[in-house]
Amino acid sequence: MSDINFLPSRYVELAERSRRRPMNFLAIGITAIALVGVWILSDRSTALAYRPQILQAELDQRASAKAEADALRSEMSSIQAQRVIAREISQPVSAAQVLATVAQITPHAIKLTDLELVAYHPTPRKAETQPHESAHAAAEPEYEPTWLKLTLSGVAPEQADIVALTRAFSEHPLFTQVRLRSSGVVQSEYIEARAFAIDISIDLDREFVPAASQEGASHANP
Amino acid sequence: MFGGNNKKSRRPIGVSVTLAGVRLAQVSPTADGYALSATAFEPLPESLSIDDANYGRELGYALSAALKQANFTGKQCVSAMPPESMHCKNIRLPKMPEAELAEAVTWEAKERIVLGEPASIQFYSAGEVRQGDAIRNEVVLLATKCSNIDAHVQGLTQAGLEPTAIDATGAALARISAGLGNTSFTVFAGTKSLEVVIARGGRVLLNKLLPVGEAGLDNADTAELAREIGLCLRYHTVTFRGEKPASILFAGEPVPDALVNAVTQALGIPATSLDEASGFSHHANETLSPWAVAAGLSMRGLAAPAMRGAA
Repeated sequence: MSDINFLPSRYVELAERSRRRPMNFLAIGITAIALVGVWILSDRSTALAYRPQILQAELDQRASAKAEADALRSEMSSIQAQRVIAREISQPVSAAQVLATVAQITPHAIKLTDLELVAYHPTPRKAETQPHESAHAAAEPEYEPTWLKLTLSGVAPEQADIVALTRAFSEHPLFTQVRLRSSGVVQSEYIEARAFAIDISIDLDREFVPAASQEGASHANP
Repeated sequence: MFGGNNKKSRRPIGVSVTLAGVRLAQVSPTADGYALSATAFEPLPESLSIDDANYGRELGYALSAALKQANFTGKQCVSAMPPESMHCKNIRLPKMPEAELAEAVTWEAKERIVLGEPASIQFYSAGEVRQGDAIRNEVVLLATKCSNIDAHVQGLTQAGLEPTAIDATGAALARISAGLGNTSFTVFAGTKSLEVVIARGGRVLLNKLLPVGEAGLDNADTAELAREIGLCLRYHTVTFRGEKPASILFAGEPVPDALVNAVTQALGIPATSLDEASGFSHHANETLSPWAVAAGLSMRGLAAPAMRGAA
């Protein structure tokens, strides 16, 4: 059989290439889709395979954070307690000193029937925050000075003794705001006397100086 | 037209280009053999030559118009360039293996065919012949300019066709007559030339182009043409010393009776119409003869038994 072909091979190759082009594009597309699919599946599979470890790690992390928060909270409570104790320890005037002073001032003729000493802890002053003030400034409250409230009840022979006692308390530098709250006659089967009640404030921003010292109570800091 | 359009059995479109026009034919298998399923003809401008710069463009226009005339299937085509653009020469080479033959033919063609520009060489290996005491290879050389091939391909691709091969008209005629006996003798009449093809089993043994002059076949010198055709047969008989063709097939344009008579008397063999001999199914109002080359091109690649089945 005669097999003549004058068609240059470049035309045959060109035609073959153009004929294969759609199939090549299709093959490339299918391959790309398959690769993406495989990648997605493998990625998903890997993610699922490591999911328990990831969840466990998150759980551990949260447990660790919780433990740390508990520790911090406990430490904060401890620090606050230490702060209260430290404040009470560092108080310039102790209850014993107050009682000693009261005993020193009170004449023998007057008998105390009740004594109440209440310490008022410092309370934060209401912050007068302005809109333009920073949060840092608002977060630092100022504290009122600590003070003690002393309430005395007793029996005196005469009203003059009560007045003298009140004056003595008022003149003593340790006490401020001495106020005779009540005074009245009390009678028993044998005697007649006057019962009284006095409210006294003691500011703690002052240093106690014992009366026995040479400096005297007048040197107490105002 | 009739015939199957099954994609598996679809044949390429045969595109035969002559200086008169383009003929397109597509064959398809039938129960009895093969049939022409689509044919079309579109003339080319009269003054057009294959060496013209606008040959490719004009060919493309003509092919586009021809493709619209019939229901052709597919875009693949096997085409043949105008016979006038082919340079044909019979040469004899020493006996050698097939692998070396192509190289030897190429070298020989450079010596014997000079076209003045790069050319493409193809050849038929006609077979072994005895020359004196030596056995030699008879080779039919075909050569054409590469620029003509490029212009031809440009026309095909411009029309949207996908050329799978550019064949020779002689090969197409040998193919179409392959089932007609051992040795076929075909004379294909064109408007300006006669192409003589002697083939055996589809193998071209002799391919000769005989110009008929500008006056055409009707006014040609019948005696001279008959003598030329007789020389072709004598060359074949002397060269191959085998079976003499039983008849001469006339195809292509209508051949004047005077020429047919002159040829049959000179050769001493009867004339046969291709339509009667080929066994091709075809439409009642249409003959295979003008489409012989295009149909042969469309049948390129078919095995020989299939073609014999068509006879």
